[in-house]
Amino acid sequence: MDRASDSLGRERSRGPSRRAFLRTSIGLGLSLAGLESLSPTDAERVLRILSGEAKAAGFPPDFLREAPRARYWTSDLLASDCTRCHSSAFEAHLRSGNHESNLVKCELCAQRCVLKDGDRGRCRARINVGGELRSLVYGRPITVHVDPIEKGPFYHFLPGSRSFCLATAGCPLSCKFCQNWEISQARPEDRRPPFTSAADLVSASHDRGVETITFTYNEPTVYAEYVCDVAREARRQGLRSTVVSCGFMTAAPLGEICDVIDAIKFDLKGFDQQFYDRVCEAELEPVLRSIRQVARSNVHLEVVNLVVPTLNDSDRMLRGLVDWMMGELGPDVPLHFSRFSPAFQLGNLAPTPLATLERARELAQAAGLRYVYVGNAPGHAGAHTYCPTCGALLIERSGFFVVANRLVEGTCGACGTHIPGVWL
Amino acid sequence: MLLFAIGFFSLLGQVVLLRELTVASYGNDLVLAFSIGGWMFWSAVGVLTGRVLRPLVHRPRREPGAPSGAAASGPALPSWARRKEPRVATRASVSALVLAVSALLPLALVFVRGSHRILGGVPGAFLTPGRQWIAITMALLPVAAVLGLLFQWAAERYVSTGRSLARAYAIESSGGACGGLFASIALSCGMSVLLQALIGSLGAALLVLAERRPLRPRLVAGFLAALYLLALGSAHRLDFWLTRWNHPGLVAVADTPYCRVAVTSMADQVTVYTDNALAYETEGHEAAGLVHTTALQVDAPRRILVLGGGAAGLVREALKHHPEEVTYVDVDRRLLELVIPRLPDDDQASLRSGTVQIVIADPRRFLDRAGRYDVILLGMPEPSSGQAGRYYSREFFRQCAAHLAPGGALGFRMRSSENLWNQVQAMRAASVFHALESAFPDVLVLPASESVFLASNAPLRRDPAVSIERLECRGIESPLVTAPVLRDLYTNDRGPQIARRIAELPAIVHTDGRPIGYQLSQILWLSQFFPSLGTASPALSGLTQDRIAAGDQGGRRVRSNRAWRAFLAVLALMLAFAGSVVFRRRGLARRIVLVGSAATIAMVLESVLILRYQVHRGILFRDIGTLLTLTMIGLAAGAGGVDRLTASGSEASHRRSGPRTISLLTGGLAILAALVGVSAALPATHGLVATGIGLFLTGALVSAIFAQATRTQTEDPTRVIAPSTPRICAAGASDPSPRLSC
Repeated sequence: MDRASDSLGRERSRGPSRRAFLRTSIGLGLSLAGLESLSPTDAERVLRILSGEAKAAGFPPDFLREAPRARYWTSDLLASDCTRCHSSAFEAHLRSGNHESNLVKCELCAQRCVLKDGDRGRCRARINVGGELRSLVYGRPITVHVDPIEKGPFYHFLPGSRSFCLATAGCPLSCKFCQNWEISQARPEDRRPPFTSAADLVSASHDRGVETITFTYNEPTVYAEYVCDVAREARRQGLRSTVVSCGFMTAAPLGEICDVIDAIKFDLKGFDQQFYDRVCEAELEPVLRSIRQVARSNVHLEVVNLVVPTLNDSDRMLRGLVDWMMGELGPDVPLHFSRFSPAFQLGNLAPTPLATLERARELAQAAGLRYVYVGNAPGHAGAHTYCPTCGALLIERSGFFVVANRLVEGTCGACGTHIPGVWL
Repeated sequence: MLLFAIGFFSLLGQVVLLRELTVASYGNDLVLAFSIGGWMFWSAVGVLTGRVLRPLVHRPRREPGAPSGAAASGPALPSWARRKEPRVATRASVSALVLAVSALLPLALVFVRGSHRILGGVPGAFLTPGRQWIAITMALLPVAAVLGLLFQWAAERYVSTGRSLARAYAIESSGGACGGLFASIALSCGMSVLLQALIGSLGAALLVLAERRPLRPRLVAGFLAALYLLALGSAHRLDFWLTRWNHPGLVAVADTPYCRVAVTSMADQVTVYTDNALAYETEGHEAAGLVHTTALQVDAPRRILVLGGGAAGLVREALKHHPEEVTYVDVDRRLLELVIPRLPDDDQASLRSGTVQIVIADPRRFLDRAGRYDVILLGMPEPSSGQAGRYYSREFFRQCAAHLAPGGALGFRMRSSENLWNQVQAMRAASVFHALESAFPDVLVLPASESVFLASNAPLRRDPAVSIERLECRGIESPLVTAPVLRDLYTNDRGPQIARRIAELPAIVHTDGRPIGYQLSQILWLSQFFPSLGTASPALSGLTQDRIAAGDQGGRRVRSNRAWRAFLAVLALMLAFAGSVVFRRRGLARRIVLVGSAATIAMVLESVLILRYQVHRGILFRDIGTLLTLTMIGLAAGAGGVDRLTASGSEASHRRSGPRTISLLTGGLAILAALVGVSAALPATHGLVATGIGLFLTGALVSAIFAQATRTQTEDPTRVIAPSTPRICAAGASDPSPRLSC
C-alpha cells in the first residue's frame, strides 16, 4: 500500500479513505434499495422536485407552444390602481410595491389569481407565458362519456335525453368531497390529451346520437373559451349545450357563456361562508352572484345542494339556502338536495341520512319552492316530478333514468298546470 | 423492580398509543409505520435530554470509603468521568418521572382521540400530512421522551450499585415482554385500549406509592391512583364519551382483537366504522348492486358464500335469489355481536334466517376446508391496508376458483372513479384484474364509482338482457338494480374504455408475495394530498417496459429482484460499519457507527417483519403486542447473554475476543437480513411463529452487539446513543460505571 506523510510528518495510508468507503457503501446501499427502480423520467422528476424547479421551466414544451391565448385577464397592473388586485383595506399608497414585469391577473374566476411569468393559476389550467395568459386546457378534454341528462342533474331539461359529457383537467376549487378529484385536481399535462377542435367535438357528439353537450365533471369555467366555442358550434349544428358549474366565476365570462348555452346547473355547496372556506377553499358570495346573474338571463337554471352530514346540514344553513332561493330566484327554479357519498378526502364520513334530505325537502317546500328533489337516493319518492297544483306524479325516475313521463307539452296531464322547464 | 416496571410501562404505552394512532388515522398502515419510527426517535431524544439535565437533578454517588471530588478519578475512569464525579439521579427525580409517565399516557390517549378536532380537521377527512405529523409528534413525544429519560436514570442508579448495564437492559426488556403480553391478552379478553392505559397508569402510580420515601411524590401518586381507580370504574362510559368526539350519534363502541368498532345511529341510518374508517351504512344500496350483478350471472344459485360484509346487506340481498344455503364468513366475532342487534329489522332477520349459516373464521382459512359454491361474494374493504390486501391476491383468487362450482361467479367491488381513472387507480385495478385472470378464465369489470369485478370459470354474460330476464324471473326488487340500470351498466361507454386501458396497461399481478395493489393504494391515498403522484409511471412500481416485453407479467422476477436488492442494500450497510470497525482506531466513533448501523438495520428488519405480517396475516392490531413482546424477549436474551458470557474471564481476554464477537454478531445480523429478504417469496415464513422468531433474533443480535460495544467504552456514553434505538441508546447513556470502562 502506498504511503505518504501528512503535515505533521506522520505516515498515512493512501488507500481508500474511511469517509470515501462509508460514502460509497451507503450510496451503494441506497441505490440498490430503491433508486434503481426509478426510470430516467421518474428520476428526472424527483430531481426537478428536489431542486425546486417547477412551473414553466419543467413544463412540456409542446403544451406551451400549442396553448392558445386565454381571454379574461389583464396585464396593465402597473398602470392601473392597486385596488384592482388588492383589497380596499390594503393601504397601497403607504407601501412601496415592487412588481415584477410581465405580471398578469386572471379575471376568469373569483380567485382572481395574480401570476408572475411562468406561474399557473389555482386552477392549474392557465399559465402566464411572458406576460401573456394562456389556456392549457383549450381543446384538450381528458374524458368524454355519454350520460343521461339526469346525471347533471337536470330534471327539467329534456328529461330522458342523453348528453355528451366532457371535462378537461383543473378546477379553481379544492372541495374535500369532490367526486371527480382525479379530473379536477389533475394538471393538464398529467394525461396530455390530444387537441380536439370545437368542430370535431361537436361532430363526435353528433355521431353518438345525443341531444345535448354537457360541460361537467370538473369546473367548466377553467375552459370557458372552449365552452363558448363548442356551444356556438353546437348551436349552429342544432345541438343544445348545458353546463354543470360551481358558479365561482366572474360576471364577464358567465355572461358570454349565458349567450351560447341552454341550461346551467349550479352547485350551491352550502349556505355558509365558513363552510366554503373550510371545505372548498372558496367563497360563497361569488356563487350567489353567479346564480342571480343566470336567473336574470334566459338560460334554464337548476340548483343543487349536496347535503354533507355534520358540515352543511344544519337547519340554519338549509333554511338560509331555501329562503335565499325563494327570495332571489322565485319558486320555480328546481332545487336538488343531493345525498353525499364518501369520496376524495372525505372518504370516512357516512352518507347523508335519508331523514336529513327529507327534512331539507320539507323545509324548502314549506318555504314555497315548488320543485324540490332528493338526489343520489335511488328509489326515493323525492326523485320524481310532481304537479305543484294537483300533486300528480308527472315524471317517474329510477336512478338516473326516466321510467315514465306524463307531461303533455310541458303541462300536467291531470290539471293542465304549466311546468317550467325545457321539454322534449 | 423499577427497571422491570419501566419496561412494562414502555411497551404497554407503545402498544396503546400505536393502536390509538392507528384508529385516529383510519387504519392507515403508513401512519402506523411512521408512528413506530416516531416513538423510537422521541425516546432517543428523551435519553439525550438526560445528558443535559444531569447536572440539575443528579447527585454524586460516593462509594463507601471512597475519596470525594477529583481524587475519585483514577486512571481507570473514562475521560468524561474524570472531569466530573459520576452522578446518579435522585430517588425523588426518578419517582417524579414515573408519575409523569403515569399521567402522560392517558393524556396522550385523550389527545389522540381529540386530535382531529384540536387540529382543525374536517370530520371524516384525513388531516393534512403536516397536521398528521403534528398529531403523531404531540401524542408520542411526551410519553416516549419521558420513558427514555426514565430508563436512563433508573439504569444509572442500577449500575451505580455495581451491577452491569447489560443486566439492567435485560431486566427492562423482560418488563417490556410482560407489558406486551399483557396488552395482547387484554385485547383478546375484550379489554378496551383506554382501560389498558388506565391500568398501566394506575400501576405506575402504585409503584411510587409503594416506596417508603420521599413523601411528596407519594402524595401525588396517591391522588393519581385514586383518580385512576375512579376512572376505571367508569372506563366504558369514558371510552364511549371520548369516541363520540369523532362519531356523533354513537350507540356502541368496542375494541375487538382486529380493530375498534364504532356504531352510530342517525334517524333510521345505522353506520359501522372500523378503526374510525367508514365500513358500511344501512341506507345505501351498494350491497344490492354487487350481489345482484354477480348472482344474476348464475342460472340458479343454490349455494352462496359471503366472505365479509354480510352484515352490510350482502346476506339480505343474497337471500332474494332464493338460495338453499348462504354461508357468511367473518373473522371478527365481537364486531358481529356488537353490530347485528343494532341493524334494521330486515337485516337482522336475514342474518337469523335458517338458510344462513354464520361462520367465525378467517376467510382464507375457511376456504381451505370449504365445499363448492355457485356464487362467491367478497365484502372485504378495498386493498388499502395490509389486512385487506390479502383478499385481492392471486393466491386468494385461486383458492376461490377451487371452490366455485362450474358456471358459478365471483364478485367484489373496488372503489374507483366513475369518469376518469388516474394512472395509479388504473394500475391498481389492473393488478387485481390480472390476479383474477390468473385464476379464472373469464373476468369482467363494470366501471362505476365502485366498480364491480366479476369472474367465472365459464363465459360471463355481457348481454344485459339475460340479467334483466333473470331479475324479473326471480322477482327481485331493488332501487339500484333495475332493468334500465342493468342495461346502462353493461352497455355504457365506460366498460370498453376501461377494458382497453387495463389490457394496455403494464401492471404487476397482485400476489401474496408482492401485494402491489396495497402499495398502489397507499400511493393513491397520498395522491389525494399530492395529486401529481396519481400520474406515477409504471416504473415507480418496479415494472419497466423491458420487463413487460420479456413477458414478466407474473411478478415473480420483479419480486425476486427486489428481494435481492434489499438483501444487497442491507449487506452494503453491513459492510459500511464492518469497514468502520476495520478502519477506525478511535473507540467512540467506532461505537457510534457500530451501534447506529446495527440499530438502523434492526429497525428496518423489525418494520419489514411487522408490516409483512400485516400484509400476509392481516391481524396486526391483535398481535402487535405479542410481536413486540417477542422482540423484547430477544433484546433481553441478547443483552443478558453477553452479560453472562463476560462475567467470567479476564478483561484482557475479553478485549482480545471483542472484535471477533462483534464480527460474529454483525455477520449474524447480515445473514438474518438476507434471510428476511429472500424469504419474501416464501409465504410459509410469514406466520406468527416465523415472524416472532425473526423479531426475537433481531432483538437478540442487536442488543448483544450493543452490550458488547458498550462493554469497553471509555467516553461519555451519551455520545454513543444518538444514532441507536431508544432502549439501546438509553442503556448506553445510563452507564457511568468505571466497571464497564477499560
